[in-house]
Amino acid sequence: MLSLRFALHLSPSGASGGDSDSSEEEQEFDFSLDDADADEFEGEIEIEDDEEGSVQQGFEHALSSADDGAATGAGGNDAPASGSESVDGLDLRADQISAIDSAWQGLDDKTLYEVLLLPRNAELRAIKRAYYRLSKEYHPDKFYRKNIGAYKEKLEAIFNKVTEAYRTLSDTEARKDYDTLVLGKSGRDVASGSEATATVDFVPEALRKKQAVEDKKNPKKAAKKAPPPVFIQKLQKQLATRIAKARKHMEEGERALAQGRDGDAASNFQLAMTLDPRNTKAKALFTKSRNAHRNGKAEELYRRSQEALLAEDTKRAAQLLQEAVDCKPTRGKYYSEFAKLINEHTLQQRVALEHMKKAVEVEPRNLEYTMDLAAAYVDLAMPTNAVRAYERALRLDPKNSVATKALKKLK
Amino acid sequence: MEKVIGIDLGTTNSCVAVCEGKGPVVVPNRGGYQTTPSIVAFADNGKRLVGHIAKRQAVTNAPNTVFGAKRLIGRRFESEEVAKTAAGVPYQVVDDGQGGVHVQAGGQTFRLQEISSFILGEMKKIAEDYLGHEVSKAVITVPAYFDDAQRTATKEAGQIAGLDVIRIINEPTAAALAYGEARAGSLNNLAVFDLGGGTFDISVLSVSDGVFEVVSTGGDTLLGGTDFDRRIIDYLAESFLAQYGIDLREDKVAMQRLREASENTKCELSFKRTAEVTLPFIATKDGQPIHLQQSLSRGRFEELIADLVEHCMEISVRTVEEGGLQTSDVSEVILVGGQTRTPLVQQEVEKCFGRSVSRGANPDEVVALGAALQGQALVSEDSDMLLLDVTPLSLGIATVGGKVSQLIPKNTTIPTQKKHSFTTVHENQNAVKIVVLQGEAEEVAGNKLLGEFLLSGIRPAPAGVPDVEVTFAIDADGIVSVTARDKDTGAEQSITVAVSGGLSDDDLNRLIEQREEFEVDQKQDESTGEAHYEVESLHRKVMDLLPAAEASVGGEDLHTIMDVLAAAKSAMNSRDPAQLASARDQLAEVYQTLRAYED
Repeated sequence: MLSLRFALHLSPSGASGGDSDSSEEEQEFDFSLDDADADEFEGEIEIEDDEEGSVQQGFEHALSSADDGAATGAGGNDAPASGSESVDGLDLRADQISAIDSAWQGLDDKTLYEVLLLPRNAELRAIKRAYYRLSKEYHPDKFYRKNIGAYKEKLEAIFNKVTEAYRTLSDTEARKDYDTLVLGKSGRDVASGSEATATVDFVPEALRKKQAVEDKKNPKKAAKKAPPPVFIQKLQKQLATRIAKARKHMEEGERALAQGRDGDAASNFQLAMTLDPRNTKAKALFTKSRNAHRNGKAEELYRRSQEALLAEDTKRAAQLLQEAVDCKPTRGKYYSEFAKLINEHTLQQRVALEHMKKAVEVEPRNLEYTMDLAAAYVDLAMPTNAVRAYERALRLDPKNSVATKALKKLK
Repeated sequence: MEKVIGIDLGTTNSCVAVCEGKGPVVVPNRGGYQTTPSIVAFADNGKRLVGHIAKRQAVTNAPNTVFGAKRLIGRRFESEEVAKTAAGVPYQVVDDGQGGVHVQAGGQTFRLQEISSFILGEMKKIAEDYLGHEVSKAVITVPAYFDDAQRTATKEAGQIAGLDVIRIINEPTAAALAYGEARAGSLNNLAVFDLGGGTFDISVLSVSDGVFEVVSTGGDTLLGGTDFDRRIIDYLAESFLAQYGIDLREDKVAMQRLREASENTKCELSFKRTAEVTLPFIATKDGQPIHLQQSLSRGRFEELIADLVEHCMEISVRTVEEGGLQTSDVSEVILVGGQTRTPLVQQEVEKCFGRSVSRGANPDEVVALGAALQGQALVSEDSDMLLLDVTPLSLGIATVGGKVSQLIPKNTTIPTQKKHSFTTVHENQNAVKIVVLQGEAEEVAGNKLLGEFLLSGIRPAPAGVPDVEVTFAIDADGIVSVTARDKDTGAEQSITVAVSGGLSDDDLNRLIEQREEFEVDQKQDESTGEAHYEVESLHRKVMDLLPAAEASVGGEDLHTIMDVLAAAKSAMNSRDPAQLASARDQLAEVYQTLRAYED
């Protein structure tokens, strides 16, 4: 058994527009693999969480080049809905609404410079002033206890982003990292404010394409371009290995599924899913194969319990039924049989009742279980519950004479 | 526009301010003082006393006089800070049974929120008396270094007192608001050095055009003026012990006298070279009274407190650097808190920042003034002022191996939020426990536990499949909240929250009800007192008239009058409102009749 710690930071740019924190992260703690092969991935892949999102951007970049479409991205760029919704009853002026809407529009796609409406070469003082000016406009306190409806979330998102931009760009080190890692050294050299405020796509994918075009145009400059940092290279390699591995398990799993080996299929899909968490196909197949496997296993356990009953080994039968229940907790039959077994061989009527209730709970449309439960309530002198159970039975089968009679008697 | 009061809920003194035409003003209490002692006492007759009246009886009623509640509020009973505070106070500090703190006084047990609510209620009343109408909205200040539990408890105290606490703000930030209010335009870096009765805070701010941006903040929640007093107390008690073999610290009444004398001595030494301490009849030995008589020089006092002051300076330098600045970048240093009156503190601050300090504003009042300004900024339509405050402590969660994974680092501008995804480790695991911590230590043990959250009801799935997105948010009050959402289903996840020390809604409502009952009782008391007085004076008047009228009143009537007088007597004894009312009416009638005979 190998335990490894693995942290993933995904999709800042692809996050849905409503997310107020763009530096969203995903993290998984300590999952374990039984597969001996897994030690190929030993070691820690950890990325420091950072405010400026630069490393995450780099990582996203690495991931999208490595996973080769095996996984679907997190939904692309949801363009925020424009401010067409009704503003009636909101404590907002028309100019405020249009200002908030325009600041929110494409917020996640803006560079930090664009967020602050500043040119790339802006000085520290200008950054501070811009931050103060924008804060006065978008800080939630400026709308304190006002009825601003859905604009509340937009405001929070804008203020978070403005703060993030200010924090990053006013820190010399962080700004340098952001400029090189995210915007790219030879990327857009924005000299004037007007150019900076124009909406420019900076999704890494698009940036990469743009970069490739520019590199073609200017091969000298491309040659001089600094290679990505070592840790990103390392990550890319590790990711590629993981994804290749995942693909192998997918193939193996599909083969097993075709041959009816549901258990093998499930464990292969699970591995594929673990290695490549974005692989939704693996997830779906895993669920399917595991359910099939479980169904088969539970049915097998049930069959064996019936054999044990015939052999008059009650204890063994009970044990096997319990296992069947655990294996397939959504199947009423196992509960119902278990309840019967308990009723026949012990005096623990209340325990049996619990199992009957469970059977009805998981299969509420089953008349037999409902009737059994009602009868059990009558036996246990719980008339109110019994009435309710019979009434439920009558809803399932309005012509049920047993239930009708029982109800009459109870009333 | 509704008035918002600003309350500086201090360790030793509290102060309330309100914005008027020109700007914020401090509201004096009925005694004419700008500040009110943060003291609650319970008299022998069961009466609750708050403020100066409580302070005056502290010596004779030490075990039933609660002071320094701010040092205990929102803390865990087993913490070192509580032990330290409990050792130095005459009232009982006890475990509430859930790890929190209760205090016992006047034969009753109170939460710290209740004690603070009594003080806040008094401040509310002071403001109402001054304004002539009711107020409900308030901004309350707390030390910048207060953690989530302490802030929440303070807010709850406000609610119990019947206040709508529209914001909790940091004391040094409030001071900066009050100080920097007049100046606009130019960009300035300010440092607020706040050394109050119980806490030390330092905040560094950039100010420009009405925007107050807190750059960094630091401090020590358990360092303040009372520690300075304690040094004098120990010094005096040690020399007394050496001389007479009696430890005054073991005698509650002597200790209370010593505490007051030490505080006075400290204040005296701010403007005198030496101070004389005289406490006659402080103890008895062999049946003979002994008096304490000792002089303390400023030099000796400064030796006693040198390490405390140095500790403050270290924190100051570190905080300025955390904001990415040097002490020389700070163009103004504002001193707040009574303890900054000590000359040594001022000297060291000036040395540390290389510039003279601002002492224009009254350090006791500036915090309340700033709170009132912030309150006005929040409710007014056209305010140009905006405060960008930060969280003073890092927020993190416990991970494997007792380590902390930081989610929101200290000095992050609030409000802020951070999303974090959680998944399972075991197959079909249906719950994930999340331990939320506040503090800077890398190990779990060195941090303050905010709460344990149980993410439950996770769909059955293999390990690593569920994806539960948890949002950790810090609001503008600096209070943390946690919400969770299952990313696959979009369903809100149920969370069981066990925040340490916070009040449940039930508890809070019960305390609010109690306060309302108390107020009704008090009103009842007042009206009963009034009725009693009326009956008493009517009774006296009737008795006065009776001898002269006796001859003219018939025998039958005389009997009636005697009955009425007897009923009035018994009504006065019982203090029953109904009896008093009927006695008053009957007496009034008798009085009218007798007056008629007289004419």
